[in-house]
Amino acid sequence: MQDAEIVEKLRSGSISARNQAFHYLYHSERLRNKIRSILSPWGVEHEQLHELIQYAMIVLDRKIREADFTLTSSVETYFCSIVKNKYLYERQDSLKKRKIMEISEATEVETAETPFADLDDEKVKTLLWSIVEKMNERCKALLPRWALGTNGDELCREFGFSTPEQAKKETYRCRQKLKEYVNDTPGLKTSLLNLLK
Amino acid sequence: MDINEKIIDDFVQGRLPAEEMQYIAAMAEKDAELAMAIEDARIAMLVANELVAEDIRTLTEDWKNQENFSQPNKSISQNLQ
Repeated sequence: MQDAEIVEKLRSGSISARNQAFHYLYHSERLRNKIRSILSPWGVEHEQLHELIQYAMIVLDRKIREADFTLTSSVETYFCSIVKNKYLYERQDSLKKRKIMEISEATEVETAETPFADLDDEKVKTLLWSIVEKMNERCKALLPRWALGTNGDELCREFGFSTPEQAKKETYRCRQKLKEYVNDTPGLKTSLLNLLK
Repeated sequence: MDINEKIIDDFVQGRLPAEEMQYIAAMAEKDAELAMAIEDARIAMLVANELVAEDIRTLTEDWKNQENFSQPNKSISQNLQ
């Protein structure tokens, strides 16, 4: 698959087109070999390779959907950069944590809260999922379609709406419920806005 | 310019011409209601993007399981050992 096609499919908002692009990226042996070669100084296990590819797909997708994003290299090169940066970040993070544990063991200092862990991916995910869990299944399915800009006809086929207008109205209701929950939960909006800074 | 919900969504996703982006940003500094509507849309987008990410995770987990399933001989021989 050519780069332009990957970009077009990811930006299309069509779930089937996007899945084709993801399928290509996930199963490309050439891409996996390139990643293995880049990470060869440290070595990478099968499970870790899967996690890195999964992470890179999420980041690539998000970047490509940003209106002001311009791809200045090939998709493969960009993808491999995401993988390498994530791998090295995690490696460095785990070394840092090990170092802190060694220091704390030696000095008996409390280490549960470390400054670099504040914006840890898992913490962000936990915060966002505390909101997602309050949503009904229909809204959990509709909201990402709104973010992707999936067109009304596809929404009608997928969700059984009789008109695109109905899809819009239901998405709007989901967003209203989300807004009410965020505004009614003390401190939640501030935490979310801090993530956006 | 009538700043409706569609325009706010486009603004949040950076899909407006630079001039309109600047105009809305300037308006939001003066209009607290607009600023709040933009914040709400940005938060909704943040949550929606996490759900998009979750769809990708589900998709790739399925593919990983299929890969493991399509190599049963390897696991069987490993199990026998």
